[in-house]
Amino acid sequence: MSYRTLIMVPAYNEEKTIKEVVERVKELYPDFDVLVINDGSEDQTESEALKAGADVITLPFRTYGTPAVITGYLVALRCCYDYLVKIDGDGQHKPEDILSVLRPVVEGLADICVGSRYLENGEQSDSLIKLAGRVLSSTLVGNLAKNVKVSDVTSGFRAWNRRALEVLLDTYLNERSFSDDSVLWLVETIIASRKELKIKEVPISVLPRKYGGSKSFSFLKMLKYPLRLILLLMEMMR
Amino acid sequence: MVLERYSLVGVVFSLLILAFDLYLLRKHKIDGVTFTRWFIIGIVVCLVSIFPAFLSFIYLVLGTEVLVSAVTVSSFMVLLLLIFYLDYKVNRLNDMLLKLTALVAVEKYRSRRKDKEEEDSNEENAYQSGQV
Repeated sequence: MSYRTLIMVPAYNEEKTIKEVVERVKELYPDFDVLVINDGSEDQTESEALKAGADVITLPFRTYGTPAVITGYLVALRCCYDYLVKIDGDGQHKPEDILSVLRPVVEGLADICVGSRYLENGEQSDSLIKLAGRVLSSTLVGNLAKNVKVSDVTSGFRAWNRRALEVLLDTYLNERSFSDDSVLWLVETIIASRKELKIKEVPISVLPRKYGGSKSFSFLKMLKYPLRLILLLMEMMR
Repeated sequence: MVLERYSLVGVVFSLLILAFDLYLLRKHKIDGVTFTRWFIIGIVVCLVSIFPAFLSFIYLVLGTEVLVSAVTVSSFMVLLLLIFYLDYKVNRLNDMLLKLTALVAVEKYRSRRKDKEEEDSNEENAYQSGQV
């Protein structure tokens, strides 16, 4: 392939899964570079990722997500990659779906492509609480980002081209403070629509977590989430 | 209901906090937690100003019946504004720290990568010159 693609895998305490994820990605896509962004893990995430053959950036302390993703954007731009894809380090995202997510961006159909669990062929096995959160999030994004329809606004399985990364980085570094991890993808979708970036969705399927609980979904986060959405509405409403 | 002058001052003061708080949120200059903290403080100050009888609860808890003087109220307001400003500053600095962390990590990575590429290229050159 004539284009350079970076697969970024932000990870916090994912020592049990990160090796498998990296090895699978490298096996499927030997032309792509894999970068694990270790968000101040306290376990062996860094050494496991290195063993699997990934490049690793270790942040000096836990930054709770958003700065780790921004680090990935910066690497993609400064190391001259054409495309960036993000997958989770917990093994829930299937590396086999990477090409499906990347294709619309490479073909110029979109600046950002989102892997959606809820499109046709996608899985819809969420609990009622998650479903309520999804409906709330989609309604909010639908109101704040008029020309964008995304069924899975919280999905972190995404691909970007350089134009999208340049626009997003400029916004994050110069115009606003970092968003809370729980609403990062919502904020990004709204920014993208306002900056006239094209967003497309493709169906993906996700696997259940093999080890530990979700870091993005806990009882406390569930309670805070509606408040975060209200704040986001107050912040982004024109 | 006619408000006393001190109540009016309190209400105006709390509205000022709420307005600044909202302004900073809209300008993306504070995070959600800081906004919420000061929103709650603003509402509490507003309620206490309109219904000073709330304070009688504090009298009961602390066992004091000394009325709040103008000096105390003014000091309280100045201190609250100062804490608000410092909280905002801490928030901005935290944001800058996170941005710097990302930038430094990337620069370190690039420099490591460049060193590795140079090392690989030197090894290749040495191998080739050895073969010659």
